[in-house]
Amino acid sequence: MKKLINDLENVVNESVEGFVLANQNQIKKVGNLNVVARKNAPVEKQVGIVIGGGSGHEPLFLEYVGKGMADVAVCGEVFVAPSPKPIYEAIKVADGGKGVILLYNNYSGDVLNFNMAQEMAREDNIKIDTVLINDEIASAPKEKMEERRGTTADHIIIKIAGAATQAGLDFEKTISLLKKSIYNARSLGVSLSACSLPGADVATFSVEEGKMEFGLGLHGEPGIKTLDIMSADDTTKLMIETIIEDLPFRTNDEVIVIVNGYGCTTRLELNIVMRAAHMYLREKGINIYASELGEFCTSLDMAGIAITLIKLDQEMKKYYDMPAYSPAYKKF
Amino acid sequence: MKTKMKNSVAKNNLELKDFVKIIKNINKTMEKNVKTLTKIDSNIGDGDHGTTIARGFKSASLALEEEKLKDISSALVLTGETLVASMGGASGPLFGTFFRAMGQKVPNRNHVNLEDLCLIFSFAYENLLKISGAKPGEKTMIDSLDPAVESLKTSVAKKDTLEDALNKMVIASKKGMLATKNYVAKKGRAKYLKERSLGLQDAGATSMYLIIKTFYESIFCGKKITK
Repeated sequence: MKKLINDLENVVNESVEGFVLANQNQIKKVGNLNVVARKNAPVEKQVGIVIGGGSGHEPLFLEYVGKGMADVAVCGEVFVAPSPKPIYEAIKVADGGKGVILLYNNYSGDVLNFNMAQEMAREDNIKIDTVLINDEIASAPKEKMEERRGTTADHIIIKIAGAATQAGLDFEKTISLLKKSIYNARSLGVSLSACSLPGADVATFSVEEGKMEFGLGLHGEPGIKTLDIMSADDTTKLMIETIIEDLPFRTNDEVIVIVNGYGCTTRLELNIVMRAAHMYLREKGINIYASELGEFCTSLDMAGIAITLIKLDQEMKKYYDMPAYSPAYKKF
Repeated sequence: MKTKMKNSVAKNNLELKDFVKIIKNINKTMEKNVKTLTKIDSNIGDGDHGTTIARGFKSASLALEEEKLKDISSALVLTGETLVASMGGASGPLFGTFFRAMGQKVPNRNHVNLEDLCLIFSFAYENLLKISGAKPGEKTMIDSLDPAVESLKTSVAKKDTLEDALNKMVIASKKGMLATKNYVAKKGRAKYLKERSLGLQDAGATSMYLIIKTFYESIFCGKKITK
């Protein structure tokens, strides 16, 4: 698999360095770790938001740091959760005295390492807690929602967190807001071809000609089932119906609809999917408050899309509408 | 002739230098198996396990060279802590905890015998169960460790020689590793595959087996047949 890299061992290091160089007016690197922070972190008298996880999902998490977004991001190796030490350093950089919230995707590796770092921070008497993102509905049934993994709702959840803390919302209220937002976010993905890790000779899995993987995660894992490939409209319809059933979303609900490319899908296709999403949501009587189209959370060079619906209430809308200034996600 | 004489003296104790040799050999084993582990992990996970565990043991191997080690306990604790720090992922805390716990249970002596080793493995196993929340039969590294620990306990009861005990432990571990093919994954990223994980071997169980196998081979040159 061809990739434009140098030394395999330095893939993440060099990528983080490049990102910091390109954004040095607003981003700083923490020590020689793969940890990046907004330049004025810690922000005094504001709850700190630390995000992080394995690399390979860019712009997630690396590029969502900035005013109105996360304070600090920790980047692990490609598809590997970061170890406790850099997470602990990130916590210290994010701590402005009002507490720190660890906000990341629900994967066992992330949970193990972030928990260890959280314990280290507690020993320093830093007020700290964790909110896990678990929006992906194919990963576990509704009754076991706490086992679901986090995927493509991330940037909006991070955006709401950043806006709320920027507006001065306190530690406990921010946590409740985030839990509510995550509960109301549901995602589902399909892939047409697998991704390949840097240095690997073969793709992580293969999707046969004429097939698609339905209900997969962000790491090139196979999905929950293989389907014959369908048209963009039929695929979108199946995905939206499955998502709507899960919440359930009701007539006159207001939602943000996200159409996310996994890394190797053209905007030409994403726009077709967005068109279909609007069509089916309208059919179901669901109102679209905002549409987000792009690559927010990728899986290296995987081809495929994810659709996320986030049901909004007044409080979530307020924070969603506030400005955000991270390199990869801006709102004015 | 000389070597044969030396070998004929039964080895019943493991010393600091044996443990250092074991860790360094695990590093070599993992390096050799990166591609195999990556392939196994790609089938049901995300394909990072081989490089992650190789990175961990490379760091641990270097750490053992750089630090002045005072005893077996400190060598194992250092190994565990280096694995946690250098690996990340779920494997970092899991394999790291395993080695650190081993170190914590080493008696205050400069050698350990089979009975000690059994206690050390059992304690590390209990710690791993606690931190992972996994049970046998869930398609994890526990599956190649659980039968190995059981085998050690049996060997202690039967008063096996250290060589026989380690040899049997490898055989038991391998059986456990192969059995992961028959389990539906309940932990890690493979669990999202549900029934689709059937028929495929677990990468963590494979690594644990490789560790146990290297343990034996580092001390007894792997002369016995380990079917």
